[in-house]
Amino acid sequence: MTPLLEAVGVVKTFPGVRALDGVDFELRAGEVHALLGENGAGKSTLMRILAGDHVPDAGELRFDGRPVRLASPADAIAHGVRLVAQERALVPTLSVGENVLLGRLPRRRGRVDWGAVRAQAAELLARVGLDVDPATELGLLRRDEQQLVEVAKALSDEGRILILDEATASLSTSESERLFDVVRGLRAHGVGIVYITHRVGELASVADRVTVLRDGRNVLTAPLAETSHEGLVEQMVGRRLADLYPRARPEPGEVRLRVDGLSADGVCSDVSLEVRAGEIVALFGLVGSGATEIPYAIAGDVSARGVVEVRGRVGLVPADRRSEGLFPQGTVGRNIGAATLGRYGPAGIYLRGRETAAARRQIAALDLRPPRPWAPVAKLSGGNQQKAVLGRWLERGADVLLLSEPTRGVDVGARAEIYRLLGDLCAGGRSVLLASSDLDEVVGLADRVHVVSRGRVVSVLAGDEVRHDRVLEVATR
Amino acid sequence: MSRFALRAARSPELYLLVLLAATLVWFSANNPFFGTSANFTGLAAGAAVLGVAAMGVTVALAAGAIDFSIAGTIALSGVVAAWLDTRVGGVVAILGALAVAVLVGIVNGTVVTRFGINPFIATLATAGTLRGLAFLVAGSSAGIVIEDGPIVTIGQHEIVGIPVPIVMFAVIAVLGWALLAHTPAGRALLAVGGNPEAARLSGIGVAGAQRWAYLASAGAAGVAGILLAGRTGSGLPQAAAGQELLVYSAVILGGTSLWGGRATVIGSVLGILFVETLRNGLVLERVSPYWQTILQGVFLVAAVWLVRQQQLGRDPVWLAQRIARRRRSPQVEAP
Repeated sequence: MTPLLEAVGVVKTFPGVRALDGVDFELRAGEVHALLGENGAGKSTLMRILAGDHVPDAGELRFDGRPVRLASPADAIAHGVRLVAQERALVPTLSVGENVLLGRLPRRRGRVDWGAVRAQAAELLARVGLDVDPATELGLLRRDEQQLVEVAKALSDEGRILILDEATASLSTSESERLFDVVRGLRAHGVGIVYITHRVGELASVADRVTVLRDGRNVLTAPLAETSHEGLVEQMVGRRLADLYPRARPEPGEVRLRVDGLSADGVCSDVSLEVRAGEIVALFGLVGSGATEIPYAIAGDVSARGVVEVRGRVGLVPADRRSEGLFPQGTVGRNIGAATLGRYGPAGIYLRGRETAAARRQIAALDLRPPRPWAPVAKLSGGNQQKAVLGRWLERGADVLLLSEPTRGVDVGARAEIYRLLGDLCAGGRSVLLASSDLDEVVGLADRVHVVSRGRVVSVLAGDEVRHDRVLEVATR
Repeated sequence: MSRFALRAARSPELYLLVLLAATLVWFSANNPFFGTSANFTGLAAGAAVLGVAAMGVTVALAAGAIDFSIAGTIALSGVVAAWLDTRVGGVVAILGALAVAVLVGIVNGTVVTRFGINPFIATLATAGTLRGLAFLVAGSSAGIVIEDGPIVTIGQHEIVGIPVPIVMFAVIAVLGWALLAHTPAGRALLAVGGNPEAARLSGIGVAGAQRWAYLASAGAAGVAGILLAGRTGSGLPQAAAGQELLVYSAVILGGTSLWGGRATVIGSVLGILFVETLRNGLVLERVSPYWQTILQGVFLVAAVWLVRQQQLGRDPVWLAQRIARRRRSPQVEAP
């Protein structure tokens, strides 16, 4: 049988980076082909080539065995390719219904047929199980709801190839299940689906075959049944998994952070916890539980009631690096020095050289790469950007670090580095409060896990109880 | 309350309408001449000139296309119309002025989309060039006098008792509304303004949409320039100087976003009427010109603040619900 889509020997080079180095990929009708890889492995580049957004430097794309050249997204759409992008490709100021049908609004005598827009959108939204009025403005929806709108949009006409990029990243378990149902339904109709993810665990629910990319080459293509979870992750990372959560657990010291009865409207209610020197305490909750917003309430970014006692200084590492953590136009040095500007010179004068020197010290301590204070921070990998944010607080002398989703959108290799760094910081006597919806890292790192559901701490697990099954069981109860 | 009524009650346009009505009532109560039909007709005809320009600005802002050269375009098209009128004749003059405006739109669109220059800077730069060209064509700051003819007709005459500028404003407003609300092209403009990346991935040409947007704003400014020349009976090179800010405040006041993706023609019409009513009322109150500009600024900030509250959901419905809730439970929890 001729494959629906073939990519043969695809090469794509960006200034300074060979993103794809002769990649082969094949998609058959009626299969779900998972595409795995770390950030920077080339999976998003490959995806954008398939969607007509990038043109490959060399190699060939074939649809139904015939070579084609995709010069624009419109070309790919004409060939039946539908992309559900990770960066939400939606227009926040337009209605949900119009977003679903964007670029192909039904028309009657040259005019937009709003009745048809409503009806068609409502039907598609029902298919993905999203119960909202199509007339609602899109920007008012939650992240996870917007993700489902993306999927509905991709279903809006007869696509033959559906590319899902990290589609479950912001979905709850039940919403993911519904998405998988939709995917299985499409597969039964003969649609070929490229499923891009970093959640290896969920592949079993949907994927038929899997391809792993690493450093721009495909290192593995195999039926899912012939692979194992650990095997896939090791192929992605290119090293053994046991090294991912290395952590010395020093004897905890004095209490550094004590929170008692903290409540903030719409975020949390009656949260109490303690973090000692040398400890990593986790707040775990599924997406929407409020766990990842609690650090903001503790840091005072959200107005809250209750008691927060801190011995030392607090630093908040926000969840969204790009919009909350970084000064994206700035250099690494500026990002590291931003919370301590008054220190770089006498009498309120700011001397850039002193900031640069300070940044050099943090760069060395954090092993930030490239090790240059004047490198533009936007060019750094996600993991190194996160180090720059951490460096800012370490430069300020923070003893208590509040982290919210520190590894969201960070690839596995860089994660390992962040985990090691957190371990080192604790070994050095600092305290870490880690709010995360990533079960693996919570279980791998934390001394204690406060499980959060609907803004409340429903259980505190410690010692032997910090296991995947226990945490998840409590969180979903 | 039905869902439709609730949505209407929360719409920014209604809010602005109430604001406008309050202003009208206030000035009518204070000045016997303000409420006369002669004053209203004059007010509306004056508003029509900037109103036409505001329609172009609204359509352009839908696509996120900022065009600060509209005042220059108004002046240049007026002067070109006058210059051609004295040499070739009225109809050719109108067509020629429109052609100049279209050319300006093409240049603006090309500079922004092809050269990738920030629209703010690019159109401020072309604004200066256009103003200079207007002086060059006019030859002096006294301008060029237009004799009776087609241009004066559309500037000063009436159709069934309504001044032509008002009729043209109404027609262009209806066209603008239909374009944005009911045509695929208009929706494409809004999509491009709301999220260019999403539009591109949906197969909509972003640069093309933006070029059309600049064409719309320059074209409308060209029409406004001809209307203004007709009303004043001359092509003045200093015409409409500084008025681009008035037009933009009126459009933003109406609920259109300066950052694209959200545009309301009805809001812009109300915004222009509000701004012009304010100006007219202050003139009739014999407020000194210095104080006029000061008060206009103060009122505009206040109005924009009020509309902003509305956009944040703090609208009359919200206020009513809040008061009702307070009444039901007088004891508010202490923090």
